[in-house]
Amino acid sequence: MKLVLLVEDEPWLAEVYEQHFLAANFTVLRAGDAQEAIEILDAKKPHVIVLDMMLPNGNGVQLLHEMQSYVDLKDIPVIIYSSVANRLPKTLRAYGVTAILDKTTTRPRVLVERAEELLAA
Amino acid sequence: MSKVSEQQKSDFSSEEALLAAAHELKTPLTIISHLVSTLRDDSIGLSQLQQECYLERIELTSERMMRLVEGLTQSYRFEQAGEVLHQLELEPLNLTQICEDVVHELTPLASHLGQNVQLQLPLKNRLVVGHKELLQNIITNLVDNALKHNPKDTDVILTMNSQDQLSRLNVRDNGPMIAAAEFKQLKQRLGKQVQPTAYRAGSSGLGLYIAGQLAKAMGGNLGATAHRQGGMTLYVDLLRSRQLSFL
Repeated sequence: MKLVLLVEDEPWLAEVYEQHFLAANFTVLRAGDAQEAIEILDAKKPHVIVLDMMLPNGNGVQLLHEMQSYVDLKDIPVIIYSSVANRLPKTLRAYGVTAILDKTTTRPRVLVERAEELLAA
Repeated sequence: MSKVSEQQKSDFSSEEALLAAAHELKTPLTIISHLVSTLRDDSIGLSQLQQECYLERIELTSERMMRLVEGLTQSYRFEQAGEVLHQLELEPLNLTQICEDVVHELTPLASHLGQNVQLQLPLKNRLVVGHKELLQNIITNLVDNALKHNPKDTDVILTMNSQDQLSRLNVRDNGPMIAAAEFKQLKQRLGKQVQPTAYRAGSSGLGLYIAGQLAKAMGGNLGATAHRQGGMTLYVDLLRSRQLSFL
């Protein structure tokens, strides 16, 4: 079973992404901020993480930093799905980021296809 | 009746307003776009109930954008045309009634967000001096802002207290805790500039800027209190009306 962690603070968007991942036979975990994501990662290891960058109580970069500190988390592929995608530095790839998608122009279906491609590679 | 005597100058440039508006509209537009694409995607297999829920969310999100654009237009008009402010006629208004109307309008949105808006307003001393349309817009902005940051299954609470010449309407949320330094900066700029704050993601603070400008136009003032246990109260101070309450 493919397991995805969605880190998105806007609940209506998170729900939409969840529907798309469920339709593609993923099991879905959801976190509304970086702290909640860390708590989930303490208990479960998803195959891929979808990460919004602008989160309450911190941001996506802080979560990426935190993940790099742990051997069992640092290699989990991360797809950044953010409305500030075009302003993010390419150097984020050093933090396990495998794709950066602009959520204002990329449909959730494409996000799921990208996640499937990553897992198939 | 009384008239506001001078034009309120803004510290907020047109360029900043444009950027903030663009930023503020991005999220609701993304929500609408993704909801529509999901509704049109047969492979998702949404139930009839889910489809209706998504359609309602599209409607609520559109209304939210419309309110923001309307507030921005009003605020810009007062900023640019001093004569409008000179002619702004203020009258005694029943604050409780206006709050009830706003809450009634925002209840579907609150319900979709899994939240509730509680009114704890007094039965007496509830008359303030203001402009009905502007006051509705201010309260709508404050409650909408609270709903944006308030967690699911908690309440946004409206209270009112009066002292001397002023009545204060408080809108309390249970959003994330704010650092003291950041809160200090926010208080200084509230209603004068946009308020992008790190602890409240995705918000440019444009709605609060608009509320602040409209409050100033009526001789009122916008302020904030942070709570130790998390959350914030945004308040608007308004002139009390001495007229006998028959409204």
